[in-house]
Amino acid sequence: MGLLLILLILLIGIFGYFLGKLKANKLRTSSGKSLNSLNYYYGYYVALYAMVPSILLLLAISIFDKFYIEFYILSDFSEDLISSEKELLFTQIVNTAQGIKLFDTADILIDRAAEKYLYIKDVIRNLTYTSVIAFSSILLFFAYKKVNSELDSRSIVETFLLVLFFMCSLVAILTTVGIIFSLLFQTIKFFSQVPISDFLFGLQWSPQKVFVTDSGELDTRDLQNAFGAIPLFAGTFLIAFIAMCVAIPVGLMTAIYLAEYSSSRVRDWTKPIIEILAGIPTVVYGFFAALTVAPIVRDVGQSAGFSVSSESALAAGFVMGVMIIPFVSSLSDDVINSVPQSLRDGSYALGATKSETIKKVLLPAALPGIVGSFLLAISRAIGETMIVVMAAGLAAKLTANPLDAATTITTQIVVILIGDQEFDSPKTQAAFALGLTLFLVTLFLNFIALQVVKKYTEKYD
Amino acid sequence: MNKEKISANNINVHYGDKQALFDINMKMNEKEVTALIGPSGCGKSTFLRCINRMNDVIDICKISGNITVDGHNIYSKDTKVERLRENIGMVFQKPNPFPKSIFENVAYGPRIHGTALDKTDLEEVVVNSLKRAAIFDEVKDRMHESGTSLSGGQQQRLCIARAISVNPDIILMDEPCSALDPIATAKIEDLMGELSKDFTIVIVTHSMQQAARVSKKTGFFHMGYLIEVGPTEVIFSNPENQKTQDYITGRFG
Amino acid sequence: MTRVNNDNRLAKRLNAEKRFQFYCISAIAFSLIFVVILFINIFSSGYSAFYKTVIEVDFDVTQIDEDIATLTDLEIRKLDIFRLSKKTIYSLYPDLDDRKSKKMLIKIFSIEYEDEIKSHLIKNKKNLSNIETILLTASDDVDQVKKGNYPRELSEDRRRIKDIQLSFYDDLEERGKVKYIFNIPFLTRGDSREPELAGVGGSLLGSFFTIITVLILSFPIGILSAIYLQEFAKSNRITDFIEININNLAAVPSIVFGLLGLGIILNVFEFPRSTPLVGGMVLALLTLPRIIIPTRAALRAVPPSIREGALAVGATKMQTVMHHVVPLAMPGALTGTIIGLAQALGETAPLLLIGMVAFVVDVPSSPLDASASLPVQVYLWAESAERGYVEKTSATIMLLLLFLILMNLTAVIIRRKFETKW
Repeated sequence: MGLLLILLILLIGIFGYFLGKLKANKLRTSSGKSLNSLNYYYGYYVALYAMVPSILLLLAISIFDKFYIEFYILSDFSEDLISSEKELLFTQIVNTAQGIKLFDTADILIDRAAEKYLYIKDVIRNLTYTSVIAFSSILLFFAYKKVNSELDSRSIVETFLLVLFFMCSLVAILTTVGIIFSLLFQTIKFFSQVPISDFLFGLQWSPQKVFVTDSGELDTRDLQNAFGAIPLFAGTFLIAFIAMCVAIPVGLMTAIYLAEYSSSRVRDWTKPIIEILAGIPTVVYGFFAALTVAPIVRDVGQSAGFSVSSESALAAGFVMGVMIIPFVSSLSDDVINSVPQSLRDGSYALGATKSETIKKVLLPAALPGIVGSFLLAISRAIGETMIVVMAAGLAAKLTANPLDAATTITTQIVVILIGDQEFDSPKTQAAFALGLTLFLVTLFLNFIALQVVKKYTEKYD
Repeated sequence: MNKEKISANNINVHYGDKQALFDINMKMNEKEVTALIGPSGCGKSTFLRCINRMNDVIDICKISGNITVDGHNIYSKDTKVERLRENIGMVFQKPNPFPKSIFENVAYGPRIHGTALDKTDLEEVVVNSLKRAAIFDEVKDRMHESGTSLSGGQQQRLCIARAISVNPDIILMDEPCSALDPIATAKIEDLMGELSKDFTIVIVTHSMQQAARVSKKTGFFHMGYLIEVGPTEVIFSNPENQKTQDYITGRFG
Repeated sequence: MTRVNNDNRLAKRLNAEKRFQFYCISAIAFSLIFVVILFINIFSSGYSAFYKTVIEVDFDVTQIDEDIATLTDLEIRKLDIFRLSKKTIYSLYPDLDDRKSKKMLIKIFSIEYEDEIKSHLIKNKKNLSNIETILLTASDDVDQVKKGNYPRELSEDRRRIKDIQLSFYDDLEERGKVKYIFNIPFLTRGDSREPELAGVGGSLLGSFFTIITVLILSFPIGILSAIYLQEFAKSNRITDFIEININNLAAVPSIVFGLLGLGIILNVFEFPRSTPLVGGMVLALLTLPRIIIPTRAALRAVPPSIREGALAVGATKMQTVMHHVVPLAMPGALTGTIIGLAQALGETAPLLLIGMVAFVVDVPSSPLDASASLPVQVYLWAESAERGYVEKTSATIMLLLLFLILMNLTAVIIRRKFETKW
């Protein structure tokens, strides 16, 4: 319904554009005097005048009609139903109206309500159509009348554009607000049932123990020791640590080579190939880790006498490390390159070798920027999902052994939310609580990284 | 007359396709100051950087000919450039102390070359270098502050201390005072006089007055050519070449 | 002087220099070798998915009462030729008697043999001969045997394919009835519980619809935001706040966007779950900063002289920006957008959370139909235990990488050809 209506409004707008433009043209040629703006601005003026308020009206109706319909239908039923019962009732009515009968209860009240529902939906539909189109046409008429030689349509149109641009840039803020709101809302619900200390300090993570009984009740005994997130924090940390053990040396030495040793031809070749590592989707890394790397780790480890899980943290961490190499190398590369040449000259003139200059002069000088790049890389490692979902374990064991399976925050979010969802259960809410933790930690790391890098760029300007 | 220390023979330098120096032949004597003068872009800095092979750092730079120091050709295959630079110190146009402490700046050279036997020896070397560079009194109470916290003139003297910390025979100076105020400049010119008693100094300067003040011998460069070289008094009072005359009198440059 | 024993030290230092260079080169070599191994691994395990094993049977058309040529496609589909199909298969071994062996024989074919016969009849209904040679898809196990992936050496109780089936297979191979053809249905069909029938068609279209949605949503909003922030916004607290937000969002893990999609788009606004529409909305939010940041850089790179020239002629700020600056910044903006879309194409975690992970057999026909996407399909098949899915997973990755390479190449070409260096 909405799409057709938007199309109609668009048509009215286009019609208005031509009307406005023609009128401007007529005024120009008949009266001979010059107009404030070019013809097409008048056209846009009429079009926007007719379209924008109508679209806003349509939006408002689509958002609020739901509430009105629910109120109207449920007003026939008892007042003292609690909200979840109301929801259930309403869903039943809607399902019946759509011909889906889930339970065989032939409840006359519900059937009648279903008919009423269909009726009111139809009424609202017709009302929306007529009102929006009428509104749009009236606006069109008014706008057309307002077109004259003094009307500064250009400024009006440009102001509209400016406001439009501004609203677009607000989307970024809306997104952040949306993220915080959705995470916070569920997290608060979660912590109303599970104390924060259990979550942050608990040692056992087994959410599958928890389930909602038919009457919507929760067995509170099961909530104890079900949501201790320490194993997740430990697993996340372990795998990120392994990843950094790979990414930091390889990334840093790659950056050093590209910045200080390689000719520009070699650089032109190797930089894109390193960037390829960054462009490979993480699900591909995950598949490779699970299919090829993990078995190798297991075979090598077992032949050396260790007991190795088939989903070792080592395999997942190793592959994750490779994925992170480009982050470390390209940021460090930029940072090393921006160290002034005069420092290198000073060191070479004293008879230092290239590696001595790098190790003793350049790296210390570039250290804040390099540390910043490490922090950003760690943040990336912590937030990574697919590699660990596919190659690391799903069972939350508290372990520091890289040959064991370990699970991470992100894995558990996926595991919880990918099954059937009961939306008000603490299980689902726990996933959001984990998400909030993740969001805050990565935000914090990025903030620190930014501060460190900012302090560094103050030195050389 | 002092012995010959450095001898440049048929030096030609190309930056890619562009030739920057044409057939330079010049000798510099030990324990005295030799000045290289000329207008901007004439190649004097390029020539200076040939002496300690700093042009090797630039990829597109190609050098032909040879330079001998104490009779050894520094461009021969078996010359270790790190050893060469241990023996030749350089001070740059803009002071470039490392972002380390004052002590560490001067200790860097002795550390990598291993010229200090132990910790006390190293401290002694650092203090001596700072004294010889006439800056010790000003920094003796803040040896562990950053070298970049000093004023411009102090930083340059710190760089001089750094250059002499490994006890070179030769010090190259590339317009060392052009970024400094007159007072700091005067201090460094005085210092040069003192240092020339022990070191061979080659200085590039665009200030003729400075060349006249500090040097014994002067070479005049123009457009990549060494136009004239000789004792400083002669160059500045009675040059042989008309171009030299024009430059001295300020006709161009 | 301590110069003499410095010779030793210098030699040590020069060795250290050589070692250091070696370590740095090894680091680069490590990355390059990893990329090469990854690609070889994927390609070698994936190319066989583009082929499938079929077995030739002879179908006796005259056994059907109706005249096929006169029937509509739908009517042919509705024919009951179940018994006839089975007989056709049994006719490969006319002397075979016992029920168990006959059952084993049927099982070396894919379960859809009746439908495949009907499809063949439909395709050729105008010119059917009395005996039609039809190629029927082999079962997953036989397919893997043909491709050499099956461990035939294992004892019979440790594998699914039985000895008698293997002997059928070997015999039919020898009789030339086993063919290896290009697997078009892999590209057109949706997912299936039978690995030999599974295809990426569903996820291909799912990805397509998702990316189109991302493009439609994020490109205008991204470009207009960048224009506002770079050209019009005054330096005040609100602008700073917006900029901080954008930089933050660029670094937020993608799974958090999935939670946003779940919490708000699905549960508050009640958009349809598992659809490319919602997937596209979530990924559009993720892609916005990746478009805004390079577009701003491209706008910044346009020199002030262009702006001043336009203003001097009497253009308004809006006209200057829209008519002069933005067109010049377009190559950079497009490059950033294409690269952002390429990254969105590879995203998996957010789509898992909003449900684009259901086992969907039908190929979607619009962004409002439930579907999976290419990377999600990789995830689903990778999690499955059947051997036959391994090659399909790799093949899907090959397709995904192909698209990514194409998109990145396009971005590079645009950048090389159109970007003006000031």
